[in-house]
Parts: sequence; C-alpha cells; structure tokens
Amino acid sequence: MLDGLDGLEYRHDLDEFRALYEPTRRFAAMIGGHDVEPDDLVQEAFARVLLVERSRIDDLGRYLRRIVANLAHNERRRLRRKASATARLGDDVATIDRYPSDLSDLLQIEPRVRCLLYLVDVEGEPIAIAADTVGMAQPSARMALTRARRRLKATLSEEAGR
Amino acid sequence: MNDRDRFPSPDEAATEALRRWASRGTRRGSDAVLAAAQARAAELQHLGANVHSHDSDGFSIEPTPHPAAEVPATAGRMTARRGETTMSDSLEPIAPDRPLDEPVAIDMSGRPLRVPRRNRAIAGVGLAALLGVGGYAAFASQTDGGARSPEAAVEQLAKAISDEDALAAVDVLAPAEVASMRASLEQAATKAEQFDIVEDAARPLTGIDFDVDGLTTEVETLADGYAKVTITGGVVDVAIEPTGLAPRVQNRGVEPTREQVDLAESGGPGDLGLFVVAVERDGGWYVSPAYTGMEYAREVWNQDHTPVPAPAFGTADPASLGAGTPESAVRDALEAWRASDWVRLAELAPPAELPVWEYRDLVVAASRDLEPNFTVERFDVQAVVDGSRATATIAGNGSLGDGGTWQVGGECPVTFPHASDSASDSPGAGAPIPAAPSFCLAGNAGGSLVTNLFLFGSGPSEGPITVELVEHGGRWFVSPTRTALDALNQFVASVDERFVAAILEDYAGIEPDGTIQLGVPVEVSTRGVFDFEIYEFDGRAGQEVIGEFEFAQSDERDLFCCSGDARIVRPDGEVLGDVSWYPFALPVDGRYRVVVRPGTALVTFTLWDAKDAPPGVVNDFSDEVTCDANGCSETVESSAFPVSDCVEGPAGTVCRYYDDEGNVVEVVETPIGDPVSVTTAKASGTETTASSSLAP
Repeated sequence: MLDGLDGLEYRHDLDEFRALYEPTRRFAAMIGGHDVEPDDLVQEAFARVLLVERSRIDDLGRYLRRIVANLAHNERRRLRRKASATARLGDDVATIDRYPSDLSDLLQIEPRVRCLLYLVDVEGEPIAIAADTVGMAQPSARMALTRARRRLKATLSEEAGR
Repeated sequence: MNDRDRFPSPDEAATEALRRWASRGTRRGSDAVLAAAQARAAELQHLGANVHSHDSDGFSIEPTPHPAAEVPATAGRMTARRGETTMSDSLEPIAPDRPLDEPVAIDMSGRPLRVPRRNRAIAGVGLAALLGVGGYAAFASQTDGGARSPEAAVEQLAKAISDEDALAAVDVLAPAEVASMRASLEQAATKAEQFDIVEDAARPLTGIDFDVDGLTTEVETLADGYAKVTITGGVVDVAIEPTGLAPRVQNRGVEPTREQVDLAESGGPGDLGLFVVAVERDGGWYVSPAYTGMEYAREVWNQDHTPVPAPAFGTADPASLGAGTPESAVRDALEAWRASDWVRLAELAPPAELPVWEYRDLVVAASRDLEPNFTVERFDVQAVVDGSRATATIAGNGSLGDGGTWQVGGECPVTFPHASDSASDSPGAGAPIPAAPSFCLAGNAGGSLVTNLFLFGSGPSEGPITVELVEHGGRWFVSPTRTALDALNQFVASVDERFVAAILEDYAGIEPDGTIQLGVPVEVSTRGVFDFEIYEFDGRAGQEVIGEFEFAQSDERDLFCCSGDARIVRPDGEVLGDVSWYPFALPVDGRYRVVVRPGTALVTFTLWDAKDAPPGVVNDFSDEVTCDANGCSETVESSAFPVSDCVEGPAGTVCRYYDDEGNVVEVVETPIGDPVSVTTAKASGTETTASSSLAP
C-alpha cells in the first residue's frame, strides 16, 4: 500500500500498478511523441493516479491510458508551440530524426491513430473501447483505422519492393 | 520454406513495426518508475498544483468519465530531475533502435494524411506498365529468338533493356514460360491504348530510359543445356522523363527521376550474387525465369538448412507425370495437398512451365513443416477441353483443422483480416454477423487480385473458380501460370474508364451523376472499393465544406465499411482537396464537383457548409487543422482554450494562454537545463509565480 502522502488517504495497491506497467508503457510508446520517453509518460500518469482516490476509478488500466493519452496530447501541443515560436524567430534548424524505415512510416501516422492501430490490430481491443481510450469518436476512429492500414500497407509494400 | 525464409507480408510487417514501436525507449522497470511516480505525487501534493483538472495549456488531463480529486485550481508546469519529474520537462530524445545512414524527416504535425500527387503518378506509371509493357511483349512472343550461348543470352537481354526494346528482351526468355502470357498481354495492350495510358502500345516504354553499361558475366555449366550466368559487374541506369509519357500519366505530376544500380553490389535474394539460369531450347539459349527462381530458392534454402543438391536438369518426362484427364489432375492435386504428398503435387505441374518436379527434393524439404489440416466434404470438377488446353470449373467445401471451414465457388462475403473476436459490441451492429468461411475463394479472381494489390483483405465475390490445364505427352497438368494469368485477364477485362479515373484521380472524362445541395443528404447507390459517384454544386470563395458519411453497417470486422471518402474536384477534373475529415475552403466562386468514394457500405452522403454542420461532423482535430487548395495547415488555438501568440523575450519564449478558470498563464519556455518560470495571473487579479530548473 502507498504511504507517505500527507493528508491523503487515496491508498492504492502498488502491485496493481506494477501489473499495469508493461501494457501502459506500450500504450505510452505508441501515443507519445517520438522524442518522449514512454517511461516518463507512465511515471507522470502513475503520479497523477496516486493522487486520486482508488475507489473512484472503475478500471485502472483504462484510466491510466486516458491520462497517458492526455499527457501525450498536451506535450505535442507544447512542442508545436515551441516549434512555431522557433520558426518565427527565423531559426531554420530542422528536426531530423533517424529511424528504421518501417518505424518512420509509423511516425507519419497521427499519434492517436497510430495508437488505435496498435490497440485494435495488435492488442485486439474492440474499436469502441480503443476509440474512447484515445479520445476519438467511433466513426472517426473507424475511418482513421482503415486509412492508416491502407497507407501503412502501401508504404510497406513499396519498401518491400525496393 | 519455413517462416524465416520468406519475406513478411505487409500486414505482418505493419504488426511487427507496431510491436517494435511499442517497445521503444529506455526501460527503467516498474519499480523504478513507480518509485519516481510516488516522489512525483508527493511533490505535486506539496506544490498544491491542480494536476487533475488541466495541464499548463488548459488541456484536460483527467479522463472525463472519472471524477478528479478536489484540489486547488492553479496551473503551471512542474519540474524536477529526470526520473522524478513531469514528462513535460524531462524529455530527452530517444536513441533510435537502428539508425539509418539516410536521415528521415519526421512529420509530427498530426495533419491529415493526403495522397500525394506523386503517388498518383506512380499509380499511373504502374498501370501503364501493367497494361502497356505487356502488350509490347505479347507481340514479341510471336517471334523466334535465342542466343548462341548462355552469356550471349544475358547480354542480349541487357542490350534489349538498354534499347527499351521489349521485343528483343522477350525474345531471349524461355519460350514455354513466355508463351502463356500472350493472350493476357494482348488484352492488356488493347486496354492501355483504349484509356490513353500509353500513347503507342508498340512503344510503351517511351519516357522511361534504361541503360545497361559495362556488363560482365561468369558462366557455370549446370548440365547439358543448362547454365548459370552470374553477373559480376555492370551498372543499370533508369531514368523517367515525364514529357515522354502519355499525357494522361504525365499530368498526374510525374517528376523526372534517375536511379543507378550497380549490379555487382546489388545482389539477389539471400545476399546471393546476381545470376540467371539460361536454358538451351532447339539450338538457342534463353534466360529462364522459372529455373532462375527455383535455383535462387534452392541456394537460399541451403544457406541455413541441410543442403539440397542441384536437380537433375532436364530429366522430367511428361509422359510419366501428370494425370490421365484434366478432372483427375485437379482432384489429384487437391488430394496431394491434403495428404502433404508434395512429390505428387510436383508431378502435376507442367515441367516446361514450372520445373518443380526436378526440384522436388527442395519442395519436399521446404514443405516438411507444412501440415495442411482440412477435410473435403464436397469437391466438384467439370473440365472443358480445347485441344491441348482445358479449363476446369471447381466448387467445393469442407472443414479446417482449427474448427473453421473452407469454401471454393459459390458466394464469399467480405473477409476481415483484422477481425476481433466479437462484433456484437459495436453499437449499431444489429443482428449478429453470420459466420463466414475461414477461407473462401469465389469467382472474379481478377477483382480480388485488384483488391489485394491495392488494399488489405478482399471484398465480396461470387461465382465458380476456374483452373487452367495443359496437356503434354498425353498427360494433363495443372498450369499455375495460366491459372494466374486467367485471373489477370479478369482484372484487365474489368478495367474501365471509371476504374482508371479512380486510380489516377483523373475525373475529367466522367459525367456527374447529379447535383448535390449543401446540407441535403444524397443516397449513394454504388458499392465498391474503386467505385465513386460525382455530384456538382455551387460554392463561394472561402466557403468551408465538409462531408458527412452514413454507413449501412457498423461491423468493425468489415475493413471497407467505413473507408468512404470525398474529394472536391474542379470541373476540369483536378482534385483540390479532401472533405472527409476536415473542412475544405473553396478557393473561388464557381461550380465544383465532389467525388464520393463509398467503400462497401456508404448509404448516404451529405456535403455541409462547415458552419452549418451538426455536432460530430467536424473531426476532433479540425480545430487544429485547416485545409485549402494549398494543403493543410495547423494551429494550436482551440475555441475552448484560446492561445495567444508566443513572444520571444530575454528569458526565453513566452507563451500566454488561458486555463478553464479564466486565468492567464504565462510560461517561459527555455532549453532543458535552464530555469523555467511559470506565472499564473488569476482572474481575480492575484498573481503567483513558480520557478525551478531542470538538471541538464
């Protein structure tokens, strides 16, 4: 049990967090920016949840994922603002990252959609739940999934043919 | 071959890429992360920040279905050392798993994925190649050829490529392997001319320049009349000059391209050297694609398995192989497959077309782990013989070892390669989806070919399946090449102007199906991955329009159910933009067209003036992305949390925005390691300031 938080009685079973570390980390890796450490997202999400009364959370796994999704979204906004400010300053230093080509293909997919792909196609989650987890409407999620699959397949087929 | 001996399919590659991406980053482990999280939680509590309501830019962190703890409402970024800190300020670039030499520019903008014009151009060139090159080869296959030696055959092939002379190139390919392509390619040539994919079917490669220089080879005799020709040196130069292409393809935005390949360094499959197998037929030497493929398969297999010796080349005697009738050849093939009798299966392939019988040791070795597990409940074969050829119509069904069923012929539903276990949890799914055969193959194989070439999975199909057979030495053989070409014929036959328009996104020659009024739904009657309907409407400059889609079914297993989209097109056919996700701003007053591509289940389509669109039509992201004829741009402003411009100040970049309490938040963003200050100007006028720094 978690102790040491003054004045808080939101006690949690830490084994629950340990058990959810791996799946939450995978989710964080998918939805986080390419320059965001998944563990940092997980850590911050854990911290936020530790401050919430456990009895108020129905499904801890989904709750953590939503927090991770929101944190990741926030971080992207912050970085975009920063990039925008940098551009206004006339700094022409571009961000160039190096990845294996199949991973850079994934990077070209909007992070929430990339995460949807992972949840539905790898983890086998129903679209309804996956869409809710990443904060998308179901119809949008369906269309996004179809297009992402199509795009990814086309890109990977192109690469396989090279 | 076993799994590691084959290339992953795009589906597998995508899944593998997703898995790798999911495991990226530096793993600290659950205990370390949890310990740091506890410290972070204590810090948050100590600072009294509202970590549950909104982060620094006002974006909600708290999942909406779950109430948050009631803590004081302030806003700001919290900082600490890496491993104990908020993700906002502790971010370090991750080390890529396997850096490549070539840098890859990463687009993290989150903007919609649009089909670049270059891709359409590539589709056009591909279509031209499919429909045009083949036609050229068809005429070539009528001529006699052959070279005086194995190396001469390869040199002749290289020269033919350099001269863009497909006739000469086909002339040095083994006749028995090329001859079966003739009818298919003639049909393709006709289609290519019909739809202006190529200007001249006799010269389909105009605009594409091949050049082979400095070719050197080594010849190894495999057997009498069989030789392996290894390419030891040479450079292939390939250039695309758009002005030489047919205007219809040229207009798709083809750009000049030049590629150079060093043949000595490029190698073949399995890092083997580049080689071909040449065969002697009637006194002339020819390059054999079939023997080349089989020999590569054998050498790749031998790299990490018990070596399979070279076959006894040229020993297949048709009179002792095959089957007595076309029907028995097909039945025997199915039974051999079911019984894992790979030698018998190899006996049923035409030796001159596909030398698998000579390579039967390899076939048996590579198939050792294959255990087809199915039963046959019904299998009907009817063959129509035409001289030394026959066409067998087959239909049947049975069960699979995993509890599923298989079916050939009849009617196949849409397949769901990404099926989840249950479709019943999809709201709107209605009645349960009937169980579909695990494996189903039915008519219109060409249509399935198209679907699988361009998209995932396969669409619905129905009708009998046909298998082509050939007779040699009084015995009948199942012809894989002719059967595959039969499917290709069906595809080519199904190509029409609308299909070409869809592939090239060139709708200039298509008459509109009607008009559409903004806000008034139209019923979409077409169904299909490559179908579309075109409606006209009048628009104003700056007017933003967006499409709304209503689908017939909401079964998440149907890959194509929700793949419909809509494009805004000028009357001259040029595609201006997509209105499937984001509002599109019309550039000028005038008449426009909207091309609606329905997928498999679109029922109604509504084109809205974005300002009149009902809630939910405008996509979640559309407050961040706007599109016009110049492309999509992105802003971080949202109506809920307006953000002012960031200003560069002496201490760093200062961004001001509002939280949901109406507080003005100022954040000075500085490089990692420098002090970060967060100032919250409360709506009441009071002000709090926090400042801390990150460890470098």
